[in-house]
Amino acid sequence: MGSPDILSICFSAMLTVFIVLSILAVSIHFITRLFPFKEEKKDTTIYAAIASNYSAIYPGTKITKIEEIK
Amino acid sequence: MDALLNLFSQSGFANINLGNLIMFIVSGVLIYLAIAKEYEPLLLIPIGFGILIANLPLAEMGSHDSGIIGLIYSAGIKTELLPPVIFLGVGVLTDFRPLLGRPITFLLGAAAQLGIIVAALGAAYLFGFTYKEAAVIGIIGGADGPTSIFLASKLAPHLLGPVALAAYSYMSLVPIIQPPIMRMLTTHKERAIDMPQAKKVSKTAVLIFPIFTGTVASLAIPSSAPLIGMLMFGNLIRESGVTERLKKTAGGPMIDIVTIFLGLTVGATMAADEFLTTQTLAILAMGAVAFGFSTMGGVVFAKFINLFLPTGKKINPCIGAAGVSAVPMSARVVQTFVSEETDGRVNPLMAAMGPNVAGVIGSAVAAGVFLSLLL
Repeated sequence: MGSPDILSICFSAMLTVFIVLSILAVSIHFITRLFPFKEEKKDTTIYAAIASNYSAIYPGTKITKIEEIK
Repeated sequence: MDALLNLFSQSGFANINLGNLIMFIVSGVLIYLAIAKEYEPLLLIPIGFGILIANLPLAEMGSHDSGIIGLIYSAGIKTELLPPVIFLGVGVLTDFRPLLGRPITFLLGAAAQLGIIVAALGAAYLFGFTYKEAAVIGIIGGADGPTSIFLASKLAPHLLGPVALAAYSYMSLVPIIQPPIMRMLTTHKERAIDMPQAKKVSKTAVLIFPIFTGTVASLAIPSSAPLIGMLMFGNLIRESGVTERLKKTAGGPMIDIVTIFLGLTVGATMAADEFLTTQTLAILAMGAVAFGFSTMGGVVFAKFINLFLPTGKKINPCIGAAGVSAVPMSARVVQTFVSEETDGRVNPLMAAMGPNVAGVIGSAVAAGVFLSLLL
């Protein structure tokens, strides 16, 4: 087999880039589905306790966000 | 008196020529652009100063001389050490989440390598460069300095200076090159496509990505492993969360040190007698062609993908322009362009970061193919 000309080298390069990046795209798509992002779990007991305490102290208060600073 | 005359005859003043003076001007322009315009200053200042010292007659400060710069060139560039180390640092500094959250943008990063092919063909057929030289000129279209230097040092070391200069100069000119092309290829309606936020990505997926990508790309094209392997290693250091010291070193002092060495030695390859040739002009011309076609490739392919996407999921085609790499400058250019065109309503910065970082992988793969077929 003779050495390839520049046209076929360029064609091979572009095709390979598309194939490799397509494989990565499909694989990453499945990896992100297999390991989906999960929101941090809310502790409903603590949430209810804080909400009831606050509504007792400040009637009518609505708790919209609880943030824990460690 | 004879001693003084003898000393003068051995000084640079007595040996300077017109070529050296022209290169001083080139050096001055680069340093000016870096300082006054802040165009790629971290690279253009070392490169500009490298050009200056390489053109000081009898100083032996060129990359091909026997002085300290020659030593760094032999140890760092001829051995292909420095570009992969830069990639390690780039991996540490790059957040791949925008790409992982919207994997289809991998394809835009692939399409935006079109300029590599067009410029390589142009260099071979229009200007009569050898295949190896043409490939090195083409890779300018990858808009990735370390990749260009890596490939040039292996396939055509004599073109290293002009190719690196073209790559970094055009990267700094992305804000001027890309907007007219985006405007020409897109309608106002397309520019106004407001893409939803990419889906959030889990920590596990973020950790799997560098390991998987480094392995798959290196298995497919082993000659791209020095670049992609190091890029992905850097990214793993970044994302693992348990190697803070390595992350700080690789993304800070190490990449800075290597950038200094790389910039100086690349600049110092540009001695007047090697740089001031018609070949250099051809390389600069093909570099501009490469950047233009890479931008077009990304934008047009995004429009092509849109033909198959339902309304509401269409891509803003301008983000395809960011596939040329030039991270993160190109993504910022897309953001500024689209935002200005839509009076600030559409801001696709994060969406553009996807193809932007995919382009880094794409150009490294293309370089690997050239190495496999031409070395």
